[in-house]
Amino acid sequence: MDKLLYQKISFFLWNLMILMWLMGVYLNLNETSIFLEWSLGGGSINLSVTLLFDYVSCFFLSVVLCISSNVIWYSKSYMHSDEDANRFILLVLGFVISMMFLIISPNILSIILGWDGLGLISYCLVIYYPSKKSSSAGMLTVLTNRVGDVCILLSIAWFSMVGDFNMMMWNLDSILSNNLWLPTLIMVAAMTKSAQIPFSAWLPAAMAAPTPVSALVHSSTLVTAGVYLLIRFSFLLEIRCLYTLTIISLMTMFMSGIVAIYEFDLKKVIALSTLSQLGMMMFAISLTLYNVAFFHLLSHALFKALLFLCAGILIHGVGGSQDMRHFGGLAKSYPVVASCLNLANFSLCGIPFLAGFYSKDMIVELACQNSYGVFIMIMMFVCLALTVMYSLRLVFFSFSNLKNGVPLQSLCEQDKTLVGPVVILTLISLLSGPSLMWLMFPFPSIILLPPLLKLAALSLISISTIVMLGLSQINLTQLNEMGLVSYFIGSMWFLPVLSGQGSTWLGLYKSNYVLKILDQGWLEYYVNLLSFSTPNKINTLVMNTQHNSLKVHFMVFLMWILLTLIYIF
Amino acid sequence: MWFSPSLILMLISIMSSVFLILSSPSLFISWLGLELNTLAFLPLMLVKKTSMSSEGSVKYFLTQTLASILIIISIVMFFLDLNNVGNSLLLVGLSIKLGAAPFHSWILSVAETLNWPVLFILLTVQKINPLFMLWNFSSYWGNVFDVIIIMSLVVGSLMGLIQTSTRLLMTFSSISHMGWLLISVSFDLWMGVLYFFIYMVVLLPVIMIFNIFNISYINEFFLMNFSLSKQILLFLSILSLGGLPPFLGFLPKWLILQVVVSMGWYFFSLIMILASLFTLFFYLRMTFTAFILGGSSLFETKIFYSLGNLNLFMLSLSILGLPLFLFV
Repeated sequence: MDKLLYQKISFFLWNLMILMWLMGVYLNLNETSIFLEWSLGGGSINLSVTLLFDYVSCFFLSVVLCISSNVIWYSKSYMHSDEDANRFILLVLGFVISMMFLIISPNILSIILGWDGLGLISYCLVIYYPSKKSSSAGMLTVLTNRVGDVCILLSIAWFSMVGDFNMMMWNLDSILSNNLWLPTLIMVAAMTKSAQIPFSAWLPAAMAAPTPVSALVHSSTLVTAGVYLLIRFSFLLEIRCLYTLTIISLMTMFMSGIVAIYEFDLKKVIALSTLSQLGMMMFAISLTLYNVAFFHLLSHALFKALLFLCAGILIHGVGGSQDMRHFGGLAKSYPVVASCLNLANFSLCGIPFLAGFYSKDMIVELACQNSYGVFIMIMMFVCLALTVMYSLRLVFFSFSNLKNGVPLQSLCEQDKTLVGPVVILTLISLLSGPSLMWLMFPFPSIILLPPLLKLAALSLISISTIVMLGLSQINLTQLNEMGLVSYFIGSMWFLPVLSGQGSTWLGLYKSNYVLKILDQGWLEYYVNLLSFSTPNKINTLVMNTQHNSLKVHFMVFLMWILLTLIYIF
Repeated sequence: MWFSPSLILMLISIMSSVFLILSSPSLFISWLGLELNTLAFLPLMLVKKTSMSSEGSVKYFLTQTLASILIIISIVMFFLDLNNVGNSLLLVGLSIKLGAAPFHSWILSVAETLNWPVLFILLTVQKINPLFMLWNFSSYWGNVFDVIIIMSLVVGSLMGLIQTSTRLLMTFSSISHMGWLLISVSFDLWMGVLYFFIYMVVLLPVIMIFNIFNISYINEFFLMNFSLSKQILLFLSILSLGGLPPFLGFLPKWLILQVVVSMGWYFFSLIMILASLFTLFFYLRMTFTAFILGGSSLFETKIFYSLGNLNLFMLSLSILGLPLFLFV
């Protein structure tokens, strides 16, 4: 294999990103979009290959390419001890190509090609390490994604009713006025991909994949495909579906926030924080704030990928352990990584003037303006506070907790290939916040709020910070004595069990009977044995009547002739 | 051996009997043609002088003579204005000539005694005359005809399942195909002719294989060693005889089935399909033992046969000839 293969691929993707970024800026400033269509004819259904380049797809493409370029450069060093790196790089490239295909296609047929490619390749990446945990995680991932695929396949039938597979060509009044099928299908598909509440079990389980895969796939690209689909199909979603989406996204945010406080696996905590931010994005969509949701998608992608890469370096540093209780006091050993991780965490929380602040705060303020009710607003603020709490818990356990720790740490920070992507992503995520905001929202929205609500977000963040700082000093063993509540929250509200055994136990139990009694029982007897012996017996009986003697032949002829003559008369 | 003058005389006589029957409007001259056919075929059976050949030729002669007697009696019945008796006797006589069930037992005895080329002529050329006469002098045959057809199909397929001799296997397959042929003749002569010609084209490679390797029993199948590509051709030609879709043997079955179903004869079509399934089973069993379950590791036979160009052409016609449906 080429020594500089990873660098070459990374450099190519970086150049592509710059191209896409420039095109996106140009398209945004001129408010145009480029629509390429190759029409393949076809009677009542218009078959065509279409590509859509507008500022949404170009910005998303540039973010995806930036993250994948850095992740591939990072994985040069991260996966160097793995002898199967060929497979890894091919899978990652396949993933990037599927994502690119999904982003630039307004055609439901090519969307499903990209969507299926994403699901399949993410399965291959999750089962990369040959262990039982990876295998069961992969199965959960691919089957949950498959549910979404089925929904999109059904929606293809709906598209064929209108006569065109492009989403640009819809005439809403005639068909969709009172029809909930298509919005529901698209919403369920987006929910499976973005791991909302009935389908959330796969995202923490998919952390069995290698860390670069988690950075690329499970933080920024795969899970945001669902959000992107909803943004593209924004014209379809109507108020009844969106209300359901509000409830579900709030439940997802709340659940992932609470579970992240109980979780000790570092990557699972980051996965749950991804889940929480996905809930925030879905929440924004459900309030019809599509542009803001898209902005939050982009900035979240960048700093979540950064968070995963830093976590990977920490995991390498303490010798492969992912449990936070093995970390401790790492800030002195990894200063650069610690600062980048802290920056990422702060922008996750929504500290002012970092990237997350622009998107999250805008969502919160706009939600306070056009929300459905008090309870929803309270839940949103609670989830904001939870975000701060688990982020600070992560920082505490990794960096400032001096009671734990490993005696032997490896100096990963000397490796430029590991730290380079981290630093570059930090710079880009710092710069992307304001620049995307200025590009995408040239005219600020008017926000009129009472002073309590205006300051609510900021004050909640500060209060949660102080609370967590206080909690870090006291003894927390009382947390374990909450019994059933602990059990409920710690096993992620029983969602993994429900997604796996919960839905399959009856079918497997019954099919055991079918296998033992029918397939290996009576069918064996009747089909295999009797169907051979019966013709043999009949045939031997008949052959006994056929001798080779001519007299017998003629006697048989005579008998049949007599029968014929009798029949005539 | 093959091209001695006496044999050429016999072949020309057979051909002239075919011409005679194809061009005669009267039953009597047709009967004359049938007699000429019988007499000309007899020396062909006696070319290879084994102990069985004389027995087979005598059985053939006596059976065919009986059939011709029945045809003459039916002519007399027509003159006596006993049309229904005449019709049924004519049908019986022609069925005996054809070897259709329930009058098939003689052809089994005779086929066992013949060598492969003569068996090919017995199974194909000798059937032209009675078939044409069936079409030419057909009137309302009644239920007797249906009984003959169904019995041919059923007997040909079911009895073939336990045969061990390849000659008898081919004979039973020809009885089953006779059922199909009789249905096609009762619709339209052109379809009967088409079925017949395709049957000849498809049967020829199979019998050629058996002739080259001198296979008489199904436990001798593993002796066919060929290069792998030619083995595939032979395998596919047997499947074509069974009537599998991408091959030529499927074309006549498809056409006839379409006509039968469009006329509404659903019971017939059911019997036809089931019978062809059974025949396909024993072809498949034959080919699996021959080409897939390798027994050649036991006997290291180093004789490699090469197929000539004409043989390859016949094989490929049988396998790739399905687009002929465009010209039907």
